[in-house]
Amino acid sequence: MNWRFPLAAGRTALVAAAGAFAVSALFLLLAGQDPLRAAFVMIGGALGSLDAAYEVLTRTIPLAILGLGIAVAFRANVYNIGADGQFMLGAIAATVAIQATGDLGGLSLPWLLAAGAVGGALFGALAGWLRARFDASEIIVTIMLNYIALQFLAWLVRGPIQETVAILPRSNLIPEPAFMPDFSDGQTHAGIVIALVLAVIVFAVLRHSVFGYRLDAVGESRPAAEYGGISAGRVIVLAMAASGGLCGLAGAVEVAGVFHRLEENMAPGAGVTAIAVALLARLNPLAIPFTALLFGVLTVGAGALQRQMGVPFPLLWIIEAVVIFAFLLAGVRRTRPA
Amino acid sequence: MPPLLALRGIGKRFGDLVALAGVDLEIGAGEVIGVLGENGAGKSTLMNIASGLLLPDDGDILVDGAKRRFEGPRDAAAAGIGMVHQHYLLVPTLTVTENVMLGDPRLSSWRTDLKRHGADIAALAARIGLPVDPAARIERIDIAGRQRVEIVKALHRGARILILDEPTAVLSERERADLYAVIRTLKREGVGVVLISHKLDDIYAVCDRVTVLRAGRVVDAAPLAERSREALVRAMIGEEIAVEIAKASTDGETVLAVRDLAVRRDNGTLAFTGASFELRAGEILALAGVEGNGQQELAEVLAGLRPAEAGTIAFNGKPLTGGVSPRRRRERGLRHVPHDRLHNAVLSRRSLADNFLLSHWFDRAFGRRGWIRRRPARAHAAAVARAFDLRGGGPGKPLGALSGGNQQKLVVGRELWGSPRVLIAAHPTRGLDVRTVAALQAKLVERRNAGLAILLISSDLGEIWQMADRVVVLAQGRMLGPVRPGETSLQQIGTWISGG
Repeated sequence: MNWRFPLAAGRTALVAAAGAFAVSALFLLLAGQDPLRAAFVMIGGALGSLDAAYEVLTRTIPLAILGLGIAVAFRANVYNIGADGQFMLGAIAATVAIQATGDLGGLSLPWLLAAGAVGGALFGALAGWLRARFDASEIIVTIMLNYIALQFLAWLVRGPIQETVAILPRSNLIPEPAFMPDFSDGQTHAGIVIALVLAVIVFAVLRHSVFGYRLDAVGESRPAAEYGGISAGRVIVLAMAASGGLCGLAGAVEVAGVFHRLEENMAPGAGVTAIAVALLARLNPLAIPFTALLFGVLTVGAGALQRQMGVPFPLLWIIEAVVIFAFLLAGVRRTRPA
Repeated sequence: MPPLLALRGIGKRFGDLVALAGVDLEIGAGEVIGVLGENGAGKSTLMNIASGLLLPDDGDILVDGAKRRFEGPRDAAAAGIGMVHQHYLLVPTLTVTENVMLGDPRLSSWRTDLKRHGADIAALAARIGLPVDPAARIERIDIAGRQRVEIVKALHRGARILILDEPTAVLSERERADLYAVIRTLKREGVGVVLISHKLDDIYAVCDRVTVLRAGRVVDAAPLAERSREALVRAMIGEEIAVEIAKASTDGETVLAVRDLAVRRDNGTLAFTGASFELRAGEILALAGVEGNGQQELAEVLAGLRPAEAGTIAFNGKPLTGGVSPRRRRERGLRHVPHDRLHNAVLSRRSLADNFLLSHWFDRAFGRRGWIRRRPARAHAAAVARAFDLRGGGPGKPLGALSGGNQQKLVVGRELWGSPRVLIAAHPTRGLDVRTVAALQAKLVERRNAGLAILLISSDLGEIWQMADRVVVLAQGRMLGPVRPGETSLQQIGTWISGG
C-alpha cells in the first residue's frame, strides 16, 4: 500500500473524482437538468455560507472516523461492509452505558466514547471471528449483521429505552456533561478534533507498530504471513475489532456531538460512503480526513441540489458508486504487470 | 534461405538500467540454440522481446527475412513464435483443451467445438511424444505435465520457433531426459528451438549453437562443439569460480528427531507414512526424490504450517506438537526456505527491510513495546543484501521489483540471519545462476561447519552428492535411507528415487 500521499495517491483520486463528476453530469442531463448550474448549486450549497460550511464539517466527522475504521480492515484484506452496523452498536452501547451510570461529571464523555468503541469492537470482532474460525465471508456476515443492528436499534428505541414520554422512537436525552463540546452555537462540535487525532494515531499504529506490520503482512499475503509466524486468524479478529471499534466510536461521537440521544437513521448510508472515503484515500489514514471532507461537501451539496433544483438525493449514491468504480478501475490498471 | 527468426542489434532500457545492448541472435529451421547467462544477464528480456511481450528500444526483428514489429504476444504467435514461460500461464480450473484453445482465433464462435479440438491436440501431442490428456483439468496435472501442456499450446498455435525459458528448473532427472527427447523430435520436424538455461548439462544435451549473454551483451556465440564447459562458464561469469566445496567433518548432537511421521496432502491423500530420521547439528541431510512425493508436506509439518497425521517430532529434545505455533518454532531457531517462496515467503509490494522482518518481527532487536524498529531492520537487510550479492534493490523499492533469483537470495539470507539451529531449505539454489549457486552452496556448508543442522530438499542429485553428509529418499509414500554419499552409489539413490 502506498504511503506517499498525495503524490502517487493524488493522481488516482483526481482521475476517480473527474470520472465521477463526468458520469454525474450525464445523469443530470438524463434527468433534464443543467449540470453546470447543478455544480454551482452544489458548491454554493456546501461552501457558500458559514452555516453551510459548519454543516459540511459536521457531516465530515462520522465519515472520517468510519473511513479510518474501514481502512484498518481493508488493509488486512478483510472487507468490512458492516460499518453501519458497528456504528449503530457503538451508538447503542454509548447511550445505554451513560444512562446506566448517570452523570459522571468530567468522566461522562470519555466513558460514553469508550463504551461506544467497545460496543462496535465486539460487533466487529464477531464477524472477524466467524471469518477466521469458519472462513465465513466477512462481506456477507457484516451485511447481515447490519440488518441485525438496524432491527435491534429499532426495537430498543420503541421498547426498553424509549423516551419517557413515549411519543417518538428515540431515547431520553443523555446527561449534559456527556455532550461533546461544541463550536459556534452548536453548529459543529469537537468530534472533528477527535477525527484528526485518530487519523494520526491510526497512521502511527499501522505504519510503525508491530500490530500494523502484522496487519499489512496478512493483507498482502496470508500464506506468507503464516509462514513468518504471524497468526492470520488472530490478526483478522483483531483487525475487525479495531475496525468495528472505530466505527462504534463514530456512532458514540454522533450521539454525544449531534443527537444527544439514541435515534434511528443517525447516519443513513454513511457506512457505504465511508468505503468510498477510504478507497479514495488509498487506505492511507492521513488522507482520509481530506477525502471525508470531499464527501462531506458532496453530501451537503446534494441536499442543496434536492432543495433548490428538485434533484433527488440518491444522485449522491450514484456519485459514490462511480467513485468506487473509478477507483477500482484505476487500481486494476495499476496492478497489471507492465 | 533467411533464418526463421533474426534479432539484430536489439537494445532495451528500463529507466537507467541497460537490460540489452546490441544483441544479435539467429535461429534457423531445425536448429536448437542455447542462451546462457547469469540471473539478470538479459536472457528473459531478450525472449520477451522475441515473443512480443516487450517492444525493443533499438534493433530489428526479422521473420523469414522480413522486418516485423510485434505489438503483443498475438503478433508474435501469428508470426510463428511460441514461448513457454518459466511460470506457466494456465488456468487451473480449465481442462487442457480449454487452456490450449483459450484466445485461439480458431475458437471464435459461441459454439465451441472443443471435442474436435481436443482430438487434434491429442494427435499433435502424440506425434511429438508428449503424453497429454486433453480432458484433464490443469489443477490435477503435475508441474512437468503443465509444461507439456504449454509446449503443446505453443505448437498448436503453429509455432515454428519455440522459446523455452528455464524449462528444466522444475524437472526431475527423468523428466529432463523426456524433455530432451521432445526437443530432438521438434528439431527433426524443422522447428527452431531456443533453450534458455543456467545448466550446462541442458545445453550440451540438445543444443547446436550457444549464445552467452553477460550484462545485456553477447559475449560469446559459437557452435557448441567449439566450446568447452570451462570456456562457457568463464564467458558467463567473466572470472573463475571455485566449484569445490570443502566440508569439515562434524558429529553433532541430534537437534531434530522425526519418528514414524505420516502426513496428508491438501487433497486428503497420504503423502507418506512411517518416515523416521534424525538431523544432527553440523550436518547436511539431503531429502531426495521426485517432486510431489511429500517433500513439501514434510517441510510444512516441520515448520508448523501443516498438521501431522501420525508420528512424533522432537526439536532439541522437546516434542514439537501441533500446538507449537510457527512463531514459537522460529523463536527456538527453526528456519524455513519454502518451496514456492515467491508466493509464500515474500511480501512483494513491500520493501527489503519489511521482507527481512517477516522472519524476525518478533525479535527483540526489531520490536520494542509494540513498535517496530525499522532502522535496525534496514541495516540488517542491507547487510544480508551485501552478503548475498543482491542486485537491483534500493531503499523504498518493493521487493517484487527484483528478479526472482534476487528475491530468493533475500529469503535464504534472511533465514540464515542470527543464530538458527535448524534450516529446512527446499531447493535453495533452484533457478539461480552458476556463480550464485556456488556462492550459496559455500555459505550453507560454512554454516553447517559452524554447527547448523540443514535439511536440504533437492531434486538435483549433483547438488546432493556435492553437499550432503547423509541422504534420505522419499518415494512412493515411504522414506528410504539414510545413506552416506561416499558409501552408496549414485545409481542406488537413482533407483530408489524412481521407485525401483
